Amino acid sequence: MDTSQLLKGVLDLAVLAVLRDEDGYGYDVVRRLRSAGLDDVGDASVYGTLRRLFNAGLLTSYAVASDSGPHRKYYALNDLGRERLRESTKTWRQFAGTMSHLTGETL
Amino acid sequence: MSANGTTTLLHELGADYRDAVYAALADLPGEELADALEEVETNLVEVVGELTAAGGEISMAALRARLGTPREYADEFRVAAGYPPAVGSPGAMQVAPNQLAVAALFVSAAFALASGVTVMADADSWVWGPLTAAAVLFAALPGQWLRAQAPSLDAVPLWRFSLVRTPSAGRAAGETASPGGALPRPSRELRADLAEIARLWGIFVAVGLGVGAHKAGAAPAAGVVIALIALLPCIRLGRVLRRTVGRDRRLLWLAVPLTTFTVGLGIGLVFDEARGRTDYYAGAVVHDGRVSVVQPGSSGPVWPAGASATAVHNHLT
Repeated sequence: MDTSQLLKGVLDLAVLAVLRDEDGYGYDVVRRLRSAGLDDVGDASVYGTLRRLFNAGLLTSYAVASDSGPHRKYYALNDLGRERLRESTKTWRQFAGTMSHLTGETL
Repeated sequence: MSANGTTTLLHELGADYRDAVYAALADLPGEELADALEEVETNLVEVVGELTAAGGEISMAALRARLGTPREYADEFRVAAGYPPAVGSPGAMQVAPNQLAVAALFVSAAFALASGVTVMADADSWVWGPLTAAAVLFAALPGQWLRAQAPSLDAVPLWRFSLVRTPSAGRAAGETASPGGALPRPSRELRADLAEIARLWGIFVAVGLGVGAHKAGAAPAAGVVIALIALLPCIRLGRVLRRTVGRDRRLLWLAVPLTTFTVGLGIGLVFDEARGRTDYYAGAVVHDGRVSVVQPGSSGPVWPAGASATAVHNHLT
C-alpha cells in the first residue's frame, strides 16, 4: 500500500510530534521523521507543512546562524501548537484503535 | 546571489533548481514567496551538502532523483503549505494579476496616445484632460501589485516574460513550464537598434516639448530654445529608461504611456499643420449668402456673396 497517501492525513501530527521535545529546522525535521520510519516523506511536504503550521500560529520560529549556508530557521511548538498536538494525538489514537479493531476482525 | 537578493553559499545547480521552483511559485504574494524561497534554499543547501558528504556527484539529475523535478517540488510544497492552486492549473483563476496589469498597460498607452493627439491637434478641447487622467489611472492601477513583487522580481511573470531579467531567471525559464519565463538576451544588433531608438526618442520628446511650448503660447524662438535645452536631458532620459526597463520592467508602466503620448503629440502636430494650411488658403467662407473673410487673430469684414476675388485679395493684402 502506498504510505504516502496515508501520510498526507497525518503529516501535521507527525511534524508537531517531532517538535514536541526539541525545536528543529526544516531539514532536521525531515531527518527525524525518516529516522522514525516515515521514509516516504518528501522534503517539500515537510517544509510546506512547517510554513502552514507557522502561518496558522501553531509554531514560532527563530533564526540560527549556520556555517554551511544560510541561517537555519528553527521552529518550536507554542501553547496553541501543543494544544493542537494533544487533540490530534487523541483523535489519531481513536482512529488507529478503530482501524486496528477493524483490520483485526477482517484478518 | 539568490533570486531574492541575498547572498548564499548555494551550489550553482542548487541555485538553478531553486530558481526553477521559485518561478513555479511566482504567483504567491511577495512576502510569502520570499519566505517560501528561504525554506527551499535552506533545503537545497542541506541536500547538496548531504550529497557532497556522501561522495555523490552534484548534478541536476541527482537533485531531481532526490527531490523530484522543480515543478513537482513546487507543487508538493504548494499543497503542503496550503497555498492556492498554481495559475493555469485546474481550479485556479484564469486571469492572473500580471495579465490584468499588462492589459491595463495597453489601455493606458491607448489613452496616452489619444491624449497626445488631442493636446496637439486641439489644445482648446476639454477632451485631453479626461484622456490624460485615464492614461495616468490605468498606468497607476497595477501599482500596488507591482510594488508587492519587489522581493521576488526576477521570477515574477509578466505576460510571457519576467518583470526583471537576470541570468538565473533565464535558466529557470528553461526548467519549468510556468507561465513566467525570462526575456531572452537581445542580440548585439538589436541592442544597437534599441540604443538608436532611445536616442531618437529623446530627440523626439525634446522637439515635442518645444512645439508644445509654442502651442501653449510661447514665441517660436522660445520653443526652439526650450527644445534645445531639453535635448540632452531627453536623450539621457531615453538611455536611462532603455537600460532600466531592461532590468526592471515595472518601469514599462511609465515608459510606454510616455512614449505613446509623445507619438500622439507628433500625430497631433501633423493633423494640426494640415488643418492650418487649409484655413490659410481657404481664406473665406460662405455663410447666409455672404462671403466672410477669415484672418487669423481677427475677424474680417463681411463681403456680399459673389464679391470679386480681387477685392478680397486687396483687403487681405
